[in-house]
Amino acid sequence: MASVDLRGLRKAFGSVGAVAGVDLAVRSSEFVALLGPSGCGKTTTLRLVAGFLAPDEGEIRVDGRVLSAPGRVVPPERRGMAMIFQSFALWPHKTVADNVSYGLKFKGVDRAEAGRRVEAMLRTVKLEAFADRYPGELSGGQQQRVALARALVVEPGILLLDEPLSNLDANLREEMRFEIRRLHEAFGITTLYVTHDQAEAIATADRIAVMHRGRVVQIGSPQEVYDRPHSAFVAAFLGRTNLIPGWVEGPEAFHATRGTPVRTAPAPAHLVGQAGVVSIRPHHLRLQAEAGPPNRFEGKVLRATYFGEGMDFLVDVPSLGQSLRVSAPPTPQVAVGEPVTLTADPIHCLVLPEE
Amino acid sequence: MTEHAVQRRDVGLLVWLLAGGLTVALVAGPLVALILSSLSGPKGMTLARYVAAFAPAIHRGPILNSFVLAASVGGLSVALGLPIAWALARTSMPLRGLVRALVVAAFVTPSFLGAMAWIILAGPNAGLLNMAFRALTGAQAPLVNIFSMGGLIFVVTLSAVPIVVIMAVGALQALTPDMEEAARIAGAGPLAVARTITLPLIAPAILGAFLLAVLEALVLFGAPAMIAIPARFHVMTTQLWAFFQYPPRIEVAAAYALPLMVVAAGLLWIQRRLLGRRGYATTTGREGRARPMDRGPWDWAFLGLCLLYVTCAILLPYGALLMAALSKAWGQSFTPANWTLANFHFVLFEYDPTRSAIVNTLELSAVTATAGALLTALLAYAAGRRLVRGAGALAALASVPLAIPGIVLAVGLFIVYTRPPLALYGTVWILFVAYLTKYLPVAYTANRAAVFGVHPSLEEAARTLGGTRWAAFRDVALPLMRPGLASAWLLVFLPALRELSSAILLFTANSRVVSVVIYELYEEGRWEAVSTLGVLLLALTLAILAATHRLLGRRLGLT
Repeated sequence: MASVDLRGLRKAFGSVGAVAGVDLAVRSSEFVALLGPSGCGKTTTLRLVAGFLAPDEGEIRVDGRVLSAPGRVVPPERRGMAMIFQSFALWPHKTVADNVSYGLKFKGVDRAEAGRRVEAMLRTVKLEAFADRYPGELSGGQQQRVALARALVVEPGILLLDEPLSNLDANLREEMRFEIRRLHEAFGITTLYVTHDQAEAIATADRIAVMHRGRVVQIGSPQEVYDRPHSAFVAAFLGRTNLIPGWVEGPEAFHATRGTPVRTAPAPAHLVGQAGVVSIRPHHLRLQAEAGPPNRFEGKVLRATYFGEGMDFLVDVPSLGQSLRVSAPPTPQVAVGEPVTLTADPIHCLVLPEE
Repeated sequence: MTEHAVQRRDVGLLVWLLAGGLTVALVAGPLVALILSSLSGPKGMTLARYVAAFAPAIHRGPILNSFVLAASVGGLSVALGLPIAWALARTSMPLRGLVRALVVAAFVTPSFLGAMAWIILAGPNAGLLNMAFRALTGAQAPLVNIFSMGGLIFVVTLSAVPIVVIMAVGALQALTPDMEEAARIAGAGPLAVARTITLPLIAPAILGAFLLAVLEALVLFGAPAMIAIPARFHVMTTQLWAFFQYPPRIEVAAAYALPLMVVAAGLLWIQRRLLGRRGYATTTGREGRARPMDRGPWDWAFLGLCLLYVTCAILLPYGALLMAALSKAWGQSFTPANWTLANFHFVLFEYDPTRSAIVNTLELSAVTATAGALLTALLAYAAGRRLVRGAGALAALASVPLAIPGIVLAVGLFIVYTRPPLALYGTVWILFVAYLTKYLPVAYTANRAAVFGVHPSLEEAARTLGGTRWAAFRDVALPLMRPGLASAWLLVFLPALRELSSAILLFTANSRVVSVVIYELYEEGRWEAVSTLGVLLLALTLAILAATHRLLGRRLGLT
């Protein structure tokens, strides 16, 4: 399998910088998700890798060979990649089998061999009974499987996926997440997966590259990125969190804007003596006062929402001048308007730079 | 049964009687008259009229001519229109906006003005291009002679190309670029993608556009009358007109017209089937999401073709008409001594036939547009909301005139309205009936789209809050349908301004319209006046189009 190396990649449309200097190294057989909000440049990055766009600056190497540089782009059909589109882009005038076998024509595979491979691939995605159907006669999930089969049958060195699940309904989306991961483990194809859905990225990827305003702002394993975000943006984009603005007094000492002290996990040295934010995930806040922890915030419940697996509380905390979200098991019955004392273990109070 | 339900049924009945009766009378009347008349003989039913119409060889020649004209125009329009559409929808060719605008201008330019302009440009003796050619080479023979089958094919093709461009651009934009990109990354080069993916997918639309171009060439009257008759040959439409010349042979005309209508209906039916058979084309689609593209060398080749077309279809003809309109005598050189505005004064104020024709045309177009928009809004709403039983059938009937060529419709109307109970012939009202019938389909389509655009839940929301059905219609549906009504009005008004093929058989001395006067003045050889009227007509059309392009542009699929 192939490795992909993006170096100093830039692409602007008119005066709008869609990709503003992306560096990213994807190892052979690795599954990397490009995660970010819409307009962050993730799809443009993917289309640069596919060769549909030429970079303004920087280069794209595959196994060390330069495939894209300003003015020099190997066209998409000669990059040995496969891509899965948000719309699936199945050709409606071709049967399922013809869709899947299309790419093999260009790879010099003879017809008998192509037939065998298409059959085997359709079995892999559990569509062997649908070979002669047209895409319009399939359900959304089946269309998605055809798109997967069509991409995988050519045995690409690199697989690109552009929001492949966003056209599916919620149940199917969860199922296809596992399917994509299963196929990755079966074939070991180097994969770049663009999504704006953090749950999708966490469930599928070996590493997540979080993109913001045309750059990769953090890259790491799903757990690293979730547990040790480098910025308030990453903390807020991956899951829910409470952000408390203030001042970093010392390595473990933080003062919220209203002066309330917060004991924190050890802060990076370069943040000390600067403005910053503390991030506390809702499930790291305790609703009942426990003895011991130094971080105690008096507050009043503004809202309580029951959603089966747990309760979600919004608690107004005057000493912080803001309200905090708290996740708790559904057992404690705390009514709206009741005073509560929130506690937080300093180890879960992460100091992050202001922006 | 509650009082409310009774009331609703009464209203429904009224709608049915009014709109339904009118539609049936408008559409069925001339059709029945055509059929009966073609079969009528001195002693009951006979096929003698058909024998009289088709037995003489002199009547069969025009059929062959029409076929040659239609097939050539269809083929050439696709050959020219498809690359232009591709350039507009699939490349980053420079000047795309300008080319789009000029294609729309060509779409609304009446073919008889295009023919007139090309006679000025390429007439064998005094044509400007031929004069320039002689001056440059010293040759005696003309370079080109517009008075020929080739010349007719050329002029009609110019006016049919926009049909293909508009339909092909629509088809290309409905295709998500993803499908082509998926083929690229599967290993296909750009040409293989066009051959195996894009063209097969838009083939039904292209074939449909071909059929519409064929139909247009088949039913056209103006350009053939101006070019074929001086060149001493007939096509079917001009032959129909000839049957009306003295001594008129109306029943033979009816027999001659019916097969033309059957062919037109057949072409239209096939075209509908092609577009309707979307069986496989209904997968997902974020429609026509435009993507930034890098410019390539092919863009310049496409631009060359586009410029060639707009030069022949717009720049040269408009220039020629404007020049003739501003000349004392168009054949002489266009020097300041020959410049004048007198032609405008003449047609607008001095010459009574043109002055009254202008007034007639504006009044007639406005009244027809208003009546057509309101009638079809009623039909579309009744059909869309299933207010009355049979509304769907009425709606289908409203689309039938699409398949009736204008001149065939005129034959039918002539038969119905020259005799009691409604002897409208000789008044401007017979033209009103003709226009209203002819433009029912286009107005109905606009209004139906408007009704579809208003989701019933919007009105239901108003009713849950206490509004009656009438209040929901008045306060919710009607305001939301207003753009549809307005475009229905415009889509009737604009073509009615230049309608010729049915007016040519139905006008009388006191009910002339601009298009008819243009044709008469052309026959008299008063080409400066013709050009002046043409320039005024084009200026008015383009001004209205420019003012309303936001409304109509999307309907034409070109914005």
